[in-house]
Amino acid sequence: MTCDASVEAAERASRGRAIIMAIAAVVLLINAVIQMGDPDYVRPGVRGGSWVVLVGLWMFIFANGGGLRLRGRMRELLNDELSLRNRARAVTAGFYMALAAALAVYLVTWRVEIVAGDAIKLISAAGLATALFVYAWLEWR
Amino acid sequence: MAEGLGNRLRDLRAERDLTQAALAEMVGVSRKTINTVENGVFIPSTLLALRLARALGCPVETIFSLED
Repeated sequence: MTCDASVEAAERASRGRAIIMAIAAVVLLINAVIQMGDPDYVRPGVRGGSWVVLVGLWMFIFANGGGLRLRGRMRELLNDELSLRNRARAVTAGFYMALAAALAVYLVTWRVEIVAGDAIKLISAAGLATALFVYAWLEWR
Repeated sequence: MAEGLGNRLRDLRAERDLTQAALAEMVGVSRKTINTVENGVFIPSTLLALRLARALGCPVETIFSLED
C-alpha cells in the first residue's frame, strides 16, 4: 500500500465509522422508544439486560473510536488529533443532553409516574445517542 | 480562519508540490486534519505544529503566526 493509499483508506474507514455511529444512535433511540413503559424490559432477565448490553457495547465502541479491529498505522490515522477532539466535543454534547434529559424526566414525574428503569433508559439514550450523532456529524463533514 | 491564528500551511504545502494526503502521511494524521488546519477550522497542538514544520522543512513560525 502506498503512502497516499493508507491515508485514503483511513478516510474511507472514517466515513464508514461515521455512518455506523449514526445508525447506532438511531437504533438506540428506537429501542428506547419501543421498550418504554413495557415492564418486561426493566425486569431482571434477558429483555431487561438487553439495554445494558446495548448501551455498554456502544459506549465501549464510542470510547475507543470504533477501531477495535484496527491496529497500527490505520488505528493511528483514524484516531488522530482531530478525531480525538471531535470525540471530546461529542462527549460534551452527550453530557449536556443527558443532563437536559434528566431535568426533563424530573419535571415530567410531577405529572406522570415513570419507572426508574424507563427514566434511566431515556437519560442514557439521550446522552449516548447525542454523543454518537455529534461524533458522526463531525467526522463526516 | 480561527481568530488570532494565521497559517500559511496551504501555500507552503503547494510550494513543495505536496498533496494534502502526502503531507498527512508524513506527519501521521488524516487528510481531513490537514484540510481543517489549512482552513483554520482546527488549531493543531504544539506537537502537530512542530511535526508539520519538520515535514515542510521550515520553522513553525513560518507556518503559524499570531494575527494582530
